[in-house]
Amino acid sequence: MSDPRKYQFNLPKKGRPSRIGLEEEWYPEIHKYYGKCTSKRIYHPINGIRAVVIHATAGGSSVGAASVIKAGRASFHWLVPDEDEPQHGHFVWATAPEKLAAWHVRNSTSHPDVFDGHNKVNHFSLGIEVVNTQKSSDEFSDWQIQTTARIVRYCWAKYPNLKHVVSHAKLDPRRRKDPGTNFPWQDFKKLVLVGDEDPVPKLVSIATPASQIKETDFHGNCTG
Amino acid sequence: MAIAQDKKYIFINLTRGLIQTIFLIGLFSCHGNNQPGNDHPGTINFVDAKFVDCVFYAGSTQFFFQHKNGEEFMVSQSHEPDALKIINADSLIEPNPVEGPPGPNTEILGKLIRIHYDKQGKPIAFSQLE
Repeated sequence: MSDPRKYQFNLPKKGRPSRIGLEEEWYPEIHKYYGKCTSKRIYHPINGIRAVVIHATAGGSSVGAASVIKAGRASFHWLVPDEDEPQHGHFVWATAPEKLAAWHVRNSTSHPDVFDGHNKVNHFSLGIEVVNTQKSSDEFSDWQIQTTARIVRYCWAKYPNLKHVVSHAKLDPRRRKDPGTNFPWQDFKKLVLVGDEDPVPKLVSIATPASQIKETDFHGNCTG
Repeated sequence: MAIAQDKKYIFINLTRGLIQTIFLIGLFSCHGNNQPGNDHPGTINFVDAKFVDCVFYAGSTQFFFQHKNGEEFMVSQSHEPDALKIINADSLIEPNPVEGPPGPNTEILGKLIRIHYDKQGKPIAFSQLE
């Protein structure tokens, strides 16, 4: 079984997508609340972004997760809805402006593999929460994984110094487990690195691969 | 007339005392039963344990406790709007965290807490014992 405390990969310099669209909508009325639990970044809001942190909510709904922002206790930039929510399959919730540091990681935590062990991770990162109870019976949906990967690709295209994609559990391993053992980290990594937003045109995908084309003997007039 | 009233007064007090004694016997018979949820319906159950940590997620807060024998267990408070709220749960959470999800309330960390359970074994309240 995979260990969420080891979930991390770094984005290569080559292969950065040029521009990625994102199906997102602001969580209803969240703009009234995120000001209580976000900060002005101490790094440049574009060039200073180095990491994306993947979380799971340990809860069953977007409403429950968004309630912590309304209470001013914690925050994150995106919320990926669960399978039984009407937004699932359509869009993700935007819950805090990217230019602000959301409060998704405790200030004291850090890891030497992430931005040379700097603390105050919130200031150089973006946080994605995926709605999932983290119970063994609660699988992540394919759409949740694809969408989380798409958010990371969107960030990769937008932030030139973005390098680290890391689990919350790796940054704070003593008790945290998110996004949990059910999160298919290797599949997610492939989706981030390869992407699925530019599918090969159908006409090309059904063509016979070059390796399977038989050589043809030429008996024409132009052989020599 | 006055004697009759005195007798009535004594009877009421005796009845009250009897009820209180029965209640206390019931309560203490549950004491020491450290497995919540296995008590009989109608009884109140509780566990006394040391508060050792609190992990705040977007969807729930997990409170960690330690039995006398060192064994740890976790009590979870859901953040769903319709979830049953554990009384005094907030007092175990860091009141003013700096730019991050809150951790444990350091003033209560390491203290003995009584965890109260309902008939179904669900945690309903925390109370500080020291």
